[in-house]
Amino acid sequence: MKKIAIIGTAGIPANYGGFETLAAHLVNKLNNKLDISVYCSGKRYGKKDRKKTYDGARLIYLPFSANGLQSIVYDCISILHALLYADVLLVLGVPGGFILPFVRLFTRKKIIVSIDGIEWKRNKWSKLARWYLWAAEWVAVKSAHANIADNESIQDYTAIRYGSLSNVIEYGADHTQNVKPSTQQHIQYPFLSSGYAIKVCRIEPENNVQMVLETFVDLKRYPLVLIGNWSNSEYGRSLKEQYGNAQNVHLLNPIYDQNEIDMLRSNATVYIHGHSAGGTNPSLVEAMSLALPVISFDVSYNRTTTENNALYFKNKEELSSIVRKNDKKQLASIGDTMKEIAQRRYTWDIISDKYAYLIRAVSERAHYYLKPEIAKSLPLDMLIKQGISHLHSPAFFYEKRNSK
Amino acid sequence: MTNELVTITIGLAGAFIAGLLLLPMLINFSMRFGFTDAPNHRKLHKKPIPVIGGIAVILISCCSALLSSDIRLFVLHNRVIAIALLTLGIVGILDDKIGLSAKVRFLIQLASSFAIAYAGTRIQSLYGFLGIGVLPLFAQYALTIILVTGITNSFNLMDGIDGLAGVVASVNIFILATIAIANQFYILALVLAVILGSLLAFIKFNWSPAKTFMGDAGSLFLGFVMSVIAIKLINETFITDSNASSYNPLVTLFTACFMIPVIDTLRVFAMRIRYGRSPFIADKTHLHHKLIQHFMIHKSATKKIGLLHISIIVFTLVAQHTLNTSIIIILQALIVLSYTSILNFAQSYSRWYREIKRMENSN
Repeated sequence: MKKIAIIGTAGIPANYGGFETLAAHLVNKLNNKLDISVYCSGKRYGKKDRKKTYDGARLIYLPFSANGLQSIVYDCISILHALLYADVLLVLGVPGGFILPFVRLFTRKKIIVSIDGIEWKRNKWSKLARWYLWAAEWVAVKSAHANIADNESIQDYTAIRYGSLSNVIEYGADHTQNVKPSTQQHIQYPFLSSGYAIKVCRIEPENNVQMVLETFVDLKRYPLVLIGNWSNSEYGRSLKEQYGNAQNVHLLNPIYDQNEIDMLRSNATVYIHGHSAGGTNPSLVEAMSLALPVISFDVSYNRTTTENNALYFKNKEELSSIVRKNDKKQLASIGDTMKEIAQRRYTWDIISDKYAYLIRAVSERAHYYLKPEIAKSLPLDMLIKQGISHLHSPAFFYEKRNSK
Repeated sequence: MTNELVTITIGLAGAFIAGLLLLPMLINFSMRFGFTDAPNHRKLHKKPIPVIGGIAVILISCCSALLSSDIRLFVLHNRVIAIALLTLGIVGILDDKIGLSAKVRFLIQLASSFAIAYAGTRIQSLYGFLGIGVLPLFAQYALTIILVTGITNSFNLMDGIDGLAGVVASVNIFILATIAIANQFYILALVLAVILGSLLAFIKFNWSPAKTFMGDAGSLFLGFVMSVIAIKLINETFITDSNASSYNPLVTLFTACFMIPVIDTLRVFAMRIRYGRSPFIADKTHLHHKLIQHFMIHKSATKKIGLLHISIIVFTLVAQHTLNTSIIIILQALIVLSYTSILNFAQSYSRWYREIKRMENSN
């Protein structure tokens, strides 16, 4: 059996976090076909929580944090350790990017890199961190045998910047299920008896938390439930103080019990998705899988994830008008469409199949077939002769023309 | 010694005041005599600007010779340099007015550098750079001509944004004057003080938004003065008659003074050749162009280059005690090159940042 090392996640069993959930489900589905080792952060799992294996995968603990500045060391050491036994390195995230050219140069190991959302543009990182990630992403994509984008819009980006054809593999969502609330939960959460909008996210400016809060506080009649890590940051604490007292706004702390959060989500009327970054957001695909009508922030990633079938807003006014419209038939139809898309694209079976196929492709094909690249230039005279000279400009390949 | 310092200060102040009075007059005259620089796609200004800064500096320097017998004596002693300077000044003025071909300017620069080399002001040794000491005569001539012409031309290219040429030249001339005073060359210091005074007045009018440029006259004059005086000072100080190849701390100091324009020019030439263009055809790839592209303001760019200039000089003064000449000179070049590289990196990053934002919002 092929030996795989999954590098760059905080580890399994997963608490939250897209990569961690991904690793957990990959291990779950593929442990009979592949020999998987997962690197875990010693900072996340204390000495007593550590196990030698989980769900058939070997766990290796490193005494570094998987996020922040230590992630560079964490990724690099994981990669170096994996060279001892693995055939394929699945590197999730690019902090360890600068070590990959050496791996490519001196070993015969196959490297698959997942770019994550476009980390280097996120203002939550410092300027130096963003420069580092921007350069590391370039190095990682150029050295890897294959790269994974979790969204087609990111595939467009890598096509333009690197000329490489990314493999689009998103996230699965069918670990969520519709749950009816118990009587006890009805008492605990009184808003369950009426309709409400729900939003689940990390409390960060790029998730447009303030915009959503402001809109609903103004609307007064429509209840909003926002689940996120309010006390983790100054931003969260000040928002909670400012908006927490409104009648129709319920700010909840993070809920780790899958059943409970599924229950809260499945009984909502609409799902508000404010993310402006990060490719395909796991929270969005999970909402789609629960057949929730989605009102999403208008950015290319969200449109691609929902296949342009949801309702979109760019600012407070648009969100407000969409919420007030409250057309039950339209919302029901959107919910059905979301469910259909999620069942077709965002199930863990499909996702893990894609991963398994990619791992096999990377291991078996000869190295010069491995990285599909986009032709950089087509000779103009040939194009003119064929009557397709408009294809001379790469813009026609990469930019979408809105056909609707 | 105090007497001389007082004279020097008077020279500085006098030249400064003369400049403050003369420059506005010249600016008014320039329109009539056609001494303006018209904007084009490549240049960074929008209205035609008078290019009389250099003329002012030259005029004030000449007048100082009329006023002071000491300076007249100095000029007499250094006839060749003075004549070369005057020639270059006139060529520069002609170039600003009617535009001479680059070949003619180049030839005259070569001739001037040859003349001063023949008259004795030559780079005689590399003072330990790469282990080389005294040079054979032919190499002395060749190196002097190349360096003087090169520095004069690179300095010419610095007159691209407001305040830049003035600031760099002032720092350099100040350093030259200080070394001159330290070695008791008081007349030389006086001459430099006069030039510095008029230059400071010019900077006032060249600071953003500029009311005048230095012009080819000024940059030829100043570039030549700086490089020739630097060579003279190296030759006439620290002389131990037996061993002209011994360590000379002025060498690294002066390379620090000229490193930015020289390296920038070499880099731009190399890039142009690499992309198949002629190195003499102008484009917007100089360091100050890149800074303007990134920060959008002349004042910012000038301050940053000024800061880099002073940093390199400070670094040299500090490092002289521990590192040897070759390493310092190489490090100076690397500092300038890495500054440009980091700037390029930051620009690429910003471009991609804007591009990704555009892609995200366009569906």
